Amino acid sequence: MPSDANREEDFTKLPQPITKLARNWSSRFIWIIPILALVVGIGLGVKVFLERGPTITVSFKSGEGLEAGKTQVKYKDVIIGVVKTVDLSEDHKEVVATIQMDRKAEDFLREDTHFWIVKPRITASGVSGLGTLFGGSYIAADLGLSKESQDTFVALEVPPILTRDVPGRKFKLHAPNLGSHDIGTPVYFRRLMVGEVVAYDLDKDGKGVSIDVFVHAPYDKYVRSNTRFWNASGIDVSVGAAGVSVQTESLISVLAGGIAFEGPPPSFDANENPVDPIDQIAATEEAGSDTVFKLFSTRELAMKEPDDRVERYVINFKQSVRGLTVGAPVDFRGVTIGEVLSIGALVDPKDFTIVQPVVINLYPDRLRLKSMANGKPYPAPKNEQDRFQRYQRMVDRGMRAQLRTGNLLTGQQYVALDFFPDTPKFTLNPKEKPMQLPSIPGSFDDMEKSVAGIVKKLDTQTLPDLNKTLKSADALLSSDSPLQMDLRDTLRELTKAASSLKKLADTLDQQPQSIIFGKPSEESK
Amino acid sequence: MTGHAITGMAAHVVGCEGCGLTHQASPQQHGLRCRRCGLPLHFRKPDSLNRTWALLIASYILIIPANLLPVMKSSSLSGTEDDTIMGGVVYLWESGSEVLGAILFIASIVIPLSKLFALTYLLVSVRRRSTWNPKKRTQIYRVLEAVGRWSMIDVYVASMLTALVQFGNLMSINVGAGAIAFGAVVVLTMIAAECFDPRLIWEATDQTQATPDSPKENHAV
Repeated sequence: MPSDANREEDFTKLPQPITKLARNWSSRFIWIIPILALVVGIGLGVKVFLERGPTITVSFKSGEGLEAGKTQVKYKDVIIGVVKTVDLSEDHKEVVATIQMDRKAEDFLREDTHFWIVKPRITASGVSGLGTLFGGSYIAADLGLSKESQDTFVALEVPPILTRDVPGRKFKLHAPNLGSHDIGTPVYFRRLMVGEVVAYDLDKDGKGVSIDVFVHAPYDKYVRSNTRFWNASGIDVSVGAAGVSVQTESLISVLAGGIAFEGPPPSFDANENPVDPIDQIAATEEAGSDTVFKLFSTRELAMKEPDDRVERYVINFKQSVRGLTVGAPVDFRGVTIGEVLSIGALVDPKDFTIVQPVVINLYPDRLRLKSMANGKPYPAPKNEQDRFQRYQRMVDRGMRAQLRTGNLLTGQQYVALDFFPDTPKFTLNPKEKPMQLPSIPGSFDDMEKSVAGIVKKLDTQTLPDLNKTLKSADALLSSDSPLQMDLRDTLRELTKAASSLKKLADTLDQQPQSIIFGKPSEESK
Repeated sequence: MTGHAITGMAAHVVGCEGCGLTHQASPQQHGLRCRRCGLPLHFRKPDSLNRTWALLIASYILIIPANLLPVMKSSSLSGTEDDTIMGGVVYLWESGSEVLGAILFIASIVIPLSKLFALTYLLVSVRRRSTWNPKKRTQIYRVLEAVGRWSMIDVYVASMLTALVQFGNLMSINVGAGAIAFGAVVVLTMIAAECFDPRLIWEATDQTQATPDSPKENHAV
């Protein structure tokens, strides 16, 4: 090892390097790298910022299928956002998902935009959301139409049947009950499936159900202001004079229910000439969106002329109204012109007279009163006074209400209005609300009376006679009676005759010639 | 050796990094080249602080998108899914693979960040002519240099999966912008560490001559 001194000495002996000046560009250009990085970084940041849209919150009933950072929001299967966080609401009743929407989905922030979770669903009318079996659920959105913007939403429990971009129109049906309808129940027009039930809701007063139906374009133009809707669920079997007729819209409607609509029955103009159905359709205007229609329970009901005028009367019956039910028809010579609204019982505390007040709804238009003169419809009464006078005139002619038996097996009764000329005079009281119509004892009452009379007569007169007859018959039929003996002998003779007849027949069968040649002798056999 | 340390710079001696031939030269001279092999001769890595700072700042900028943007975009039947580095760590940790999660966390988040901070510390300490424990600081530098390449695991995984998992609609994985930024961060910090000259750590100490036990091995050759 050389000493330090030696080494220092050596330094001076070292060779000199070559000097060759080169441009030292790196010190200046090295700063391009961070500038470039800055530009790229800012560029990426700006891109992300520009793509990032608004944040919205959607509350769900349950967090099933919701995953923070993963669950996507799709519109027409295009991703428009992603769930950022999934939290319980403050009152722990709901699940609140914060969703980061894309920039392009900014206009989804409308008041009536709908969100719902898509998961596999099997309903009577089909299977949907199978793709989510593999891919996990996602949130679907339906763009609203409202101009009001909003960033807090409540998710739908069930997916809407239709998204808003489907052409067609929505109508509202009003029905006393929902029946077998459900969301997705088909709507038929001449047995063609043209729409479906999209929503239903109980009326605020709880007295009926509103059913929203959507009719696809171009069929929606067949829904006119006078179109009738009716329940087409199940099978309608009716037995008429023409035999049994079965009516149904389609097999699906048998299983899942359905609603059908059609225009009104062909109408007649003032001169009783049939109106051309095309003119009839043209005459009515197309029903606007959200028009309210009544949902009839059967096609027959739907096709009836609407009962515009309703009058209410009370009939006090003095006999049992057993067999009369609310809804029973009020009949005028076979034409149903009203229905029973309520049945009660009133007792006069003084003399214990019992009357059964039956309130009826009368549809006077169903009587279609015609004046004899020119065949024109009789005008409706102008006022209450006019109406009262008309009814008074009819009562003077003998119009009375009567309970009649509609069905002998079930004992169901109906109220019949008819004219009985020989009835005592009755004056209507226009101040009564509802006005009372006179009644006469029912035909069944008469029958009952006569039957009772017959039974009584049977009891007092016919029965002793019958007794006598039975006794003599008994004597006649006893085993030692002469008639019996004779009968037995006769029967024995009859048996003998039959056996010889049989023998003759056998002989004829074997030897038909015997009828000409006589019976052959025993030897010839 | 005891007493004050003689560095190559102080002794006006510079060695060729290519062939090992030592030359006598003054640090003020520029554009020196080896007499034997023609390689440029430096007493110190040229422009060390400037270059390191530039690359370090670039790394600082790029590490933001590297962590915020998705590294991998996997699309399957279920739709597409973007994964950031931290998202992957959280997923691994939550799905029970704590060890893998920790590895990914250390390799992809701890190491790059600590590298950046360590390099910043070294640069600042050199600029401020700090005399604090130069030996320790040199050790930090060595660890920093050795560990840098392991941060590339993430980029390797992403690029491998991209190449292997391409089944059309069924499943496909694509590299996201975050992976490119992350790869750039790793490469830039490696180059930055390469540009830094650890001999600068000792210069302040040499000038104050406050370290009697400074090891001879660390002197410029």
